[in-house]
This record gives sequence, structure tokens and C-alpha cells, in this order.
Amino acid sequence: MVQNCIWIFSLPLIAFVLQASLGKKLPRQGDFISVIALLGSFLLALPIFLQVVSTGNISEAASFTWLSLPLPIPDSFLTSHPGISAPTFNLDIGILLNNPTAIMLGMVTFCCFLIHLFSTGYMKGEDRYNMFFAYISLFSAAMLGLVVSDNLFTFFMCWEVMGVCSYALIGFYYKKPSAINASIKAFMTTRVGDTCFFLGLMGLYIVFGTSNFSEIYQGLQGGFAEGKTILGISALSFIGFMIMMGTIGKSAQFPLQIWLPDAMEGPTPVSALIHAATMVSGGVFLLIRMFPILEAGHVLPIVAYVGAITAFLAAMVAVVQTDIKKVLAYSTISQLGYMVMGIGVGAFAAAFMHLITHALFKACLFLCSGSVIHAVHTQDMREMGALRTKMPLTFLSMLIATLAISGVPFFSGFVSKDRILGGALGYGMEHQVHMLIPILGFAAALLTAFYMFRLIYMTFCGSAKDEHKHTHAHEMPWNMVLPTLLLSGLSLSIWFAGPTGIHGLDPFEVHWFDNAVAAAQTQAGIALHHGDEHIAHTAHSLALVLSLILATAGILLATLTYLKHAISADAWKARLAPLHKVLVHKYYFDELYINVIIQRGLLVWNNLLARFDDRVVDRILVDGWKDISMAIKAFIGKFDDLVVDRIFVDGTGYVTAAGGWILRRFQTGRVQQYVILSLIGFSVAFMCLLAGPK
Amino acid sequence: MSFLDWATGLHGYLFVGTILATLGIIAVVYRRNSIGVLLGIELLLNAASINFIAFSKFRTAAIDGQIFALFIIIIAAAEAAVALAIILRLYRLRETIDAGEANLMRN
Amino acid sequence: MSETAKIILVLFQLLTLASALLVTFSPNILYASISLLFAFLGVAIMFLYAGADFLAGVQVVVYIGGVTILVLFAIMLTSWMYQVKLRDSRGKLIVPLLLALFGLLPFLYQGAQHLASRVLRTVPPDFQTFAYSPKTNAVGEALLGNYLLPFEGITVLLLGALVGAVWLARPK
Repeated sequence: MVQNCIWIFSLPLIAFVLQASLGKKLPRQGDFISVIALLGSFLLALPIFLQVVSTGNISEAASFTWLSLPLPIPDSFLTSHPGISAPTFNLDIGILLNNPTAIMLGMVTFCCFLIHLFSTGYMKGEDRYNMFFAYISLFSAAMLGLVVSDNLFTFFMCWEVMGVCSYALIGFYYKKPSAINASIKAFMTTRVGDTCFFLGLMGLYIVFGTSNFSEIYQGLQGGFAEGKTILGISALSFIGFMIMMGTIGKSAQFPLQIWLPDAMEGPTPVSALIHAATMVSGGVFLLIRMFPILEAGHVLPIVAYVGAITAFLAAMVAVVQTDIKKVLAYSTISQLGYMVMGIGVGAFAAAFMHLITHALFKACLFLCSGSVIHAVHTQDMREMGALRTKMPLTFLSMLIATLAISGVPFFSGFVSKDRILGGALGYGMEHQVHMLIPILGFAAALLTAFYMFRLIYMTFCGSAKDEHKHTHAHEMPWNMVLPTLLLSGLSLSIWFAGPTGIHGLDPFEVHWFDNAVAAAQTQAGIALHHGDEHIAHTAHSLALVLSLILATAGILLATLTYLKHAISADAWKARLAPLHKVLVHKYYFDELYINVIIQRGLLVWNNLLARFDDRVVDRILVDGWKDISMAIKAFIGKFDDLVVDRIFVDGTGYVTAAGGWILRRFQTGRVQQYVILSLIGFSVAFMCLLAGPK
Repeated sequence: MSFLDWATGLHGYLFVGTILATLGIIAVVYRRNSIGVLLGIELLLNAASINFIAFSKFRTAAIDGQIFALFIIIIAAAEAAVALAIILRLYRLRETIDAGEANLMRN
Repeated sequence: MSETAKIILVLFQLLTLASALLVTFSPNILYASISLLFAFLGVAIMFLYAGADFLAGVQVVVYIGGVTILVLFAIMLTSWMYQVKLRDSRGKLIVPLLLALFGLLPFLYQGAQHLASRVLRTVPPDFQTFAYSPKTNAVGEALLGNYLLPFEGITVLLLGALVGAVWLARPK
């Protein structure tokens, strides 16, 4: 199994190398290499995943020492304490294969494979076709490496590789200035989070001396971090907060959510792969891996607030977007906010389940939107409409995924979202001060249903806004339709909980996910105190009813507004003009960051540093160095001229010439003279022989 | 030991060999005529043959020394043929067979 | 060996030495090469007395019958008998003469005699019977036995020398 894991992430890596080096020369620019590599990864991951489904438990690990450095301990100390051997700093890296890993492996390889397959159709005929596949293969390798990492260090390395791939893929259409700006923005924004994450990683090394997950869990249970502080605050809080910052950057949470909508400049399969299904989920996966630290560091409420605020704010913006991909981008942020909120309120299992279900249906949504964009050659929903008849299969799969994300029973999103909301409500009921969290969550649920159906109605129903584009739209080839259908098929609740997804109503229930996560919690040493069983039960029942009502309300509202036109969207827009303006400007976050933080803060500081660099470093250190160098140069030049050139170089020449002159005397060309010389030699040799001892 | 015994024994053979070798070397370095040099070389080779034959009788009483002498004779014949060809060539080129004149490689 | 035989051998040795002296110092190259013929003859007789009957025959056939004739031809081809002086232009190299006579010869002589004395202490007992046995059979067996490889090498050498000599002496 562990060996399979190595192959799972090595295959895409090999595909990347092949694609990048000789993809251009291969037939079809070698796209089949990547697709086959991902198919291989999926087939290797499938038995692992199925083992979790059937037995509910898998736990294997393998690691080796990557590097071993002796710590700088003075020799005098060691000699005076003979019992102590010099400690070393060991960096062990390896593979941790447990339930979350297995479930993630199943999801990631499946999504990656389907998206690769979809890309063969979507990217057909594009410039740098082979490099596109090289990048997404490298990205898949990094994501799989992240999933199987048994320590935070390689986790972070894969995390950064994904960041680089994301940068390259967002800016894939490098001739578009907006794409380049978006890629730089994404890279720089996530850098803020990554820097914090790295600080957290360093903190972990300081406190635990390791970054291995299992050892961290053991260390936590052993009370290893008791009383330790970093920068005056509790070490665990520091680490937890910094790791949360990493997630905020990578999963586009408030207040670093600004990069993800812009990242839609990349090709649509990239949006599906990176900015919906996998990379942004990596941030949530980090929280899942580090949950014990977050819990012990008491940062969970902050996490919950971050998630709830993100979920609500992003959902608000999604309502006013007209670009089909932007809507999905904000919905992604919103759903990621749900997951983070779920982690924050302690609904660990629900958040993890939402991670999986969301990855599947959001990948489906993005791929469907990719098909639509491919068909009508625009991203603006106002120019679409009435595509239902033209693209029935795409419509079907997108509708299923939309129902899933809106939280309608029988679909997977309902199960996971309902559990998250139930957990949040229970948390709010238990801690009355935190009641804002469930309120924001439920509001976001209403908005989600509303804007998603708005998207469906504007795109597929109603009348065609642009006749020309409508007539040219057509269904996509099999390699683009099949992935969407498969993904939408997995958006049914039967795979996760039961046919209806409502606890207590199902004729039969599916428990593999709950069992697997429960086992994972035991492995990680997470003992979730559920508080009052009664409150929890009440909260879940209430949340079920509330979310059903809200989803229905949202769908109804969208139907009335965008299908029946009973409510005028424009009238409401005029009525709420200030709010609309704020939402269209995305709460002025970009303006805040660029005009205030960067222009006023960082730029001033930057200028100060530049001036210091110019005045002190350049003028004194660098130019001063020049003067010293000139003096040394003059001295060395003279030395070179007099000693080296005259004596050594020319001297060698003279000696050689003199030697040649002498030797030339012997080189007369007379054979007999040579014989005479050898005769002399013989005579001397004979004399020596005979004069020597007999 | 009488003079006859000395002269017909190993000493006599080696004595003749020594004298022949010395005279050969003198001819090689003393003659200007290339053919004269060649004659000196023949003398040297004969001296060597004499030594081989003598030791084959008085030291080993075996055939091996004679085989070596045979090889020397064969090589001397080959060498004489090649050397005379070179001399003819030299004569054609320079109209002389003076060994001192064959000095194109001088200096 | 009878006294008469010994005297004959000594006479031939003297003939060899005298001829060699002529070879080295005769101003006329023609006389020198003809006296070389007698030196070869003396050496052949010495071979015969040392038990190398086959070698003596080879010496006569190859040297006297081959090499000397070749040399005479070369002399006649290069020095036009009545036009070019056959006399060797005597070199001014008195130094090598002195060197050979006083630098090489005494040591060579002393070394050879010393070696002879040492070897005679361990003369093999059957050397007289060896000396009087015919050698043609033995030489043939040795050449096609132990010395087969050098023998083949020599044939190749001879072929090479033959071709080389023909090529060198080719007409323009």
C-alpha cells in the first residue's frame, strides 16, 4: 500500500518530466501521457480507498531519514558529560497512509483524472498545449504528495509547488495582461499566508523538534508543549494561528480571499482542478491534519469566525456577479468558508465530508461552465440563456451539481452542509456569545441556493439573449461530457449517507465515511467533547428544518426573479444601490490592499529601504569597496608585471630557449655522431659495472 | 692451460667476439661511406652470433643458443637488404652515399 | 679434439681477425667488402668447431652467398667503378677510434674473459657429445616446436623487409 502511494504521486511527476521535455515532439503533443499517468494513479489509489470503505480503517506509515545534522554542542560540554552523546537534528520524511489520506487520495486522483480527460477536449488546439498538461501533471503530483506526506515539512514543500503551478496556470494565457496580473496577485497573496505557515512550521520544530504528524499528536497528548511560549504568547496558540494563516492564504479565506476570483483568468479546467477541487482544499486538509494543535491552542473560535464571515461575504458577492466563472469562484470561497467554519465549531467529520463532496460537485460545476464557455465563447451570463435544449447532458450534470451545492435532499451537498450547519448551531446554542456564527452560516445557505439557481436560470433557461451565439452552441464531445456526468453522478447523497440524506428517514444508510472519520479521530487523538447530547440533537434537528426551509426559499426566490420575472432584479438593484455598489467592488478589498496597505504602508517602507540601500550600501559599502579594490588592483598589477611576467613567464621562455640552444648542438643529424655519443654512454656504463663490487 | 686450449675454448671464442665487436663499432663510427657503416654492423652481428654459439656449447649444451644465432642471421639479412635499398635511394637523391651528407634533419 | 684441428681453428680465427681489421680500416670499400667475405668464412669455421654445423652452413649461404654479393652490387651501383673514387673519404673522427680502443675494448675484453672463466667452472658434462652431434634435425624440431611463434614472426619480418626494400629501391 505504501509503495503504491509512492507510485501514485510519482506517476504524474514522471508525466510532468516527459511532457515538459519531449511533449512537443510526441503525437497529440503527448497529452495521453498525463491522462494515462493520472489514470494509473487513480487505479492505484482505488484499492486503498476501497479498503477504507470496506474495513473502515487503514493505517500504514513508512519514513526514512532525509538528512541528519549534528547540533552545535561545544566539545567541552560533551567531554565534561561523558554520558551524553551529541544530539543530532534528523529530518525524517515519509508517507502516512491513514483514513483521511485514503479518502483524499480517492477524491484527488479521481478529480485529477477526469479533469485531465476534460482538458484534452477543452484545450484542444491551444498554444503551449503540452506545457498545460505538464503543469497540471506537476500540480497533481504535488497535491498527491501533500496528501500522503507524513510530516509538515514535505507538506509545505508540496504546498509551495502547487503555488508555483497555480501561478503558471493562472497566467497560462500570458499574452493577456489581466492573466499575468491575476497570476502575480494569486502568488503574492498566498505568499502572505505561506510565510505565516512557515513561521508556524518553525514554531513546531522549536516546540516538538519534529514535524511528523504522528509524533506531534503524541507530543500533544504527552503534554509536551505545556507552558512553552513563543513571542510571549502560548506556543500552541502561535503555531495554531500561523497554520490557520496558511489556510487563509491557500483556501482564499477572509481577509486574503481576493486572489481566487481573479484566478479565473486561467483556463477553466485549471479553475476546476486547482481553485475548486484540490489546491484550495489543501488548506482545509491542513486544518484537518493540524486539528489537535488548533484545538489545544484555543484558536478554533477564530477559525470558526473566519469561516463564517468568508462564507457569508463571498455568497453576497456571488449574487451580483455576471461572469459565470466568477459566480463559481465566489461560491467556492463561500463553501471553503463553510468547511473552515465546520472545523472551527468542531464539526470535524462534517467539514471533511464537505471537503470531499464539494470537490466533486464543484469540479463538476466548473467543468460544465467550461463546456458552456467553450460552446458560446463568452463568460458573461447575460449573453447566454436557453442552452438547455442545446446541451442537455451538460445541463443535467450542472443541475445535479447545483442541487447538491444548494443543499437539496437526495444530493451530497445537503448531507455535509446540513451537518456543518448543525454543528455550528449546536456550538452557537452552547456558547450564546458565538451565535453570530450559525446565523452567518444559515444566511450563506440561503444565498447559495439563490445565486446558484440564478446561474442555472440565466444560463440554461429563459430566452436566448444572443441569437448568433445560441445557434452556434452545441453539445461537447464525449471526453468533455463524460467527466461532468461522472462527477455529477457522485454528487448524489447515496454515496455518503443514504438515498435521501436525511438522518432517520433513509430506508438504508451508508456509514463508511462516518466510520472512517471516527477511526481517524482516534488515530489523531482527537477526543471531541460533544457537550450536551441533548443540545446537539436539538440543534441538528433544527438545522435540518432550517436549512431545508432556507434552500427552498432561495430556490423559490431565484425562480421568481429569474425564471418567472415576478420580482424585478433591476428594481431591487436600484433600491439597494449602495449595497450593490459595495458588492460589485467586492467590499473594496482590492482598493484597501492596493491603495492603503501597499501604497501607504509597504511602498513607504520600501522607499525607505531603497534609500538606505542607495545611500549606505551603495555609496559607502559598494563604492568604498571599489576604492579598496582599485588600490589592491594597482599593487597586484605591478606585482604581476614585474615579478610574474618578467621573472616567471619571460624567465621560463629564456631558460627554455637556452636549453634548446644547448640541446641543438647535439642534434647534428649525423647518425655516426649519435653512435659516438651512445658509445660514450656504453663505456661509462661498462666502467661502472666493472668498477663496482664483483 | 696451453695457448691452443685457451684459443679454442670459450675464452678464445669470446676474445674473437670482443675484437669483432670493437672493430664493428669503429667501422660504424669511423667510415664515411654508408656501405662501410653497413659492413661494420655486419661485423657486430657476427660477434653477437659467435657469443651465442659459444655459450650454447660451453654453458648449456643445448640448441637454443643456435636458434637465436639463426634468428640473428635472418634479421641481419633482412636488415642488409633494407639498408642497401635505403643506400640506393640516398644515392639517387643526393648523388652520394656519404653518411655525413644525410643530414636533412640537422638542427 | 686433436692438436691439428685446434691449430686449424686458431688459423681461421686469425683469418677472421685479420679480415675484420681490413674491413674496418681498408680505405677501399671494395677491398673491405671482399675481406668481409673472409671474415664471414672464418666465423663459419668457428661455428663448425662449436658444434653448430647447420649454422655454419647458413652463415656461408646467407652471408657469403647473399649479403656480401648484395653489398658488392650496391657498391657497383652507387660508385661508378671508373668514375667515382672508391676510396673512402677518411673521417676526421680520431676521437671515436681512441674511445673504442681505449674506452670500450679493455672493459669489453675484461668482462668477456671474466664471464668465460666463471662459465667454465660449470661446464655441462655432455658438451663434447653435444658438439659432435648433427644439428639439422634439432634445429628443425626447435623451430617448429618451442620457437614456432618467433619463427612465424621472423617470416612476417622478412616479408615486410622484402616489400620495404623493393618499395625503397623502386625506380622513380
